[in-house]
Amino acid sequence: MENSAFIQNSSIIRRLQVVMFAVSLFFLIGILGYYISNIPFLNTVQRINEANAVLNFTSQSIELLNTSRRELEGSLLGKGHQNVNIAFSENQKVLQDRINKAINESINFKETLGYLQSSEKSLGKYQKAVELYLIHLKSYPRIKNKLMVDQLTNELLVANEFHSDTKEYLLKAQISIKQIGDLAFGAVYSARYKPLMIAGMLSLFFFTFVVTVGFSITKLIRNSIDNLTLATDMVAKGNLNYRAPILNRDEIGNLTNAFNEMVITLETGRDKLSRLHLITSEFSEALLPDQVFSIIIRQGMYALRASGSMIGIIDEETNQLEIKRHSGFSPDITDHLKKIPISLNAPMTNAFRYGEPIFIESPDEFKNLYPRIFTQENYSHRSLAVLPLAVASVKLGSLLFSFEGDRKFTKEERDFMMALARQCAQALHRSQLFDDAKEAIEARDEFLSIASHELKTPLTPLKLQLQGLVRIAKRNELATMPTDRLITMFESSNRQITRLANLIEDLLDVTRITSGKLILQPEEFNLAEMIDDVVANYKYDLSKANCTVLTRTDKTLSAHLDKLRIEQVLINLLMNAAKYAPGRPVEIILQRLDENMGRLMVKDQGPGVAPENKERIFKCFERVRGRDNIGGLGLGLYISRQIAEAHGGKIYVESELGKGSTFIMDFPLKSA
Amino acid sequence: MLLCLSFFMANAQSVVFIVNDKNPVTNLSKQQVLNFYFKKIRQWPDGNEVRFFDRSDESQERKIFLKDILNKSSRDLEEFWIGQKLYTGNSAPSQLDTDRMVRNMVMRFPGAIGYVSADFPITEGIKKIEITGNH
Repeated sequence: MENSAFIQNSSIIRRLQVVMFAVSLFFLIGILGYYISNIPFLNTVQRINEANAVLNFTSQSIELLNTSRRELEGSLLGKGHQNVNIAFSENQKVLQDRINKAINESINFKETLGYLQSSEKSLGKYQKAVELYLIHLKSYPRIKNKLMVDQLTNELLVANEFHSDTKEYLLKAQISIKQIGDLAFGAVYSARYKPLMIAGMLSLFFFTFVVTVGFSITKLIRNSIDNLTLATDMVAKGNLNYRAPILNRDEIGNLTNAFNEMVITLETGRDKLSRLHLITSEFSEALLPDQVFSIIIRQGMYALRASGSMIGIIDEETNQLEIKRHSGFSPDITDHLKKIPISLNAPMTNAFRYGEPIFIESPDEFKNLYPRIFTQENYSHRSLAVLPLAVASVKLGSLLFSFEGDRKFTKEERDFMMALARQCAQALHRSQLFDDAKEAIEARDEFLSIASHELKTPLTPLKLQLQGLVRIAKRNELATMPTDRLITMFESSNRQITRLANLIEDLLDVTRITSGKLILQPEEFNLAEMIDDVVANYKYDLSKANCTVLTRTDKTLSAHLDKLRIEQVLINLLMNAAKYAPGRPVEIILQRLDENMGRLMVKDQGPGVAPENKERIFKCFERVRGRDNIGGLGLGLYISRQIAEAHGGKIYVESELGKGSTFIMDFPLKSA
Repeated sequence: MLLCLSFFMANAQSVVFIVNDKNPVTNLSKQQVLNFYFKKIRQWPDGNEVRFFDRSDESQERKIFLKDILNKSSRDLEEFWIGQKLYTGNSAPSQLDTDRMVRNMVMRFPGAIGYVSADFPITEGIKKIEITGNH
């Protein structure tokens, strides 16, 4: 299951940032509003205070004026000018002081200041008028006539006028300062409260916004996290094909997407693992290579979703990869692909030789790498994976899988294929060992049956002869037996015993060789003489087989070898020739190859050895199959080879079917 | 010494407006008189401060003044001047008892204007002015 590419189109983080920004703005505006509301306030408060002071002083001044007028009015009624004078002076002092103070406080209030200054002027005139009046009042001890009254009245009237003027200005100043005070307060109100109100409303707005958005984000995050938690639980319980739904295309959506992809990977991995387990368990029940091949092809193709597969196993004798099994390829291709020389530059041979996997992802790549074997027809599949089959350092062959379509082999796929190849190689190796073991057991069983037969063969006549002799002895006819007949009988028995002894000796030799106890005892001897001795000793057997022996020997050839063992080899070769080529001459050739090596050849004119058997006959218990009428354990050549190789030489056969065989032993003149 | 004939002189129960004889103005409209009384105009063309002298409530001249010039009752004026004092600080013009007092004040203050009974002698230091029409 593929996940489409994830595109994020919203962001929780962005929303949270917006909320935090709004919160900061909320606080900022609140603080700013408060701050702004205070600045003009500070100024205006001062003004209001000043205005209040002016108001205070002018009010007091007006009061004082009123008092002075009353006092003056009282004066005419006979209060006495002294008292009035003093009272008036006191009053005026205080009055002047108040007006001064008022003037000082009203520096910032132009209009009010104007009025106060005018009132000061009028006050001056008033004071002068009153002074004049009081002087005249003083100068008249008693008010006697109408003229005096008129004069004083006039002067008082004048003073009153100035008094009215002064009061009027003070009132105007008072009204003016009151207006200013009211205005200032109004200004304070709008200056202070308006921004505060605005700030308050904005704050409320932001607060609502923050709360609403905050709640919705919380809910969103909780839902997303619950969704992801559920998905995690499902996966933890083993439900690997669960895919978490993506609720929003934001950061958590991104995480959910990544989670799903991880689960896909886990699922794929688990599937691959269980497939490997399945394959392993099937392999464990496969015994023979053929069974292993079947499993590899079937399971491998299924696991990898391959459209074709091929197994090639190395044939060490011919140095070729033999295609043991294939599937999914057309006969046009497979008919030509039975055996591939490993020197060929081709995927399967290269993988085998270098022990490294080869991945070809498109026909073009194949064409570039193997231009000589690429043809449009033979490359019907689109991509290939070729894996070496090897166990430890043992190279067994290679395994090929082909796929429809171009493939990008991911690292996981490559690793899986290598793991698969290792499993296959191990199973194959095991089955080969089993096969070899089976063959070995079969060979051993065959040998045992032959051995028991061969060993019994001389024993039976031997026993018969001895039984015969016993019978004769019991009949007391021993003395009457002709000597020749007795000698013949004894000699026959002797031969059987010798035959038996030889067989047993061979078996013991094999035992020694396989347990590594073949010990050579080299000595210096003349080879030609040895050959002549052997020929002489085995004249009987050779003549019985009607084989004439020709020797062509270099009489000067001496060697430092284990004489008995070399004799053994020669005897074995001679007896083989007699056995397999009766009635035909046998040639023995001894020659010097160079100053260090010599060659011994035994030539017969027997049926020859087929090419496929040339190596096999030197193996333990091997005989040419099909010739069961020829006795022997099949150990002779094996032992001969062991002896030759123990000396540092070699033994082999040159032969053509129907044209006889030449057994050749090359040996060092001094044993290794 | 200026002699002015006034339309109102036919009536023995009328008043005559006097100003300081140094005041160059010779006539005023009724409206101007009203403006002076109500302190709407506070300066003469020559720059002197207008100082209106009213008469006490009981006097005959005041009654005529109220009826013919102001066309308001005493009560109205009281209320008006209370309001004025509160809102503008202007106080009512001084109220004098007699023609003589008016004359003395007009002589004393160059910007003074007052009214006396029609038959009050116009002596030195004061002069009569004509009150013309409504404007």
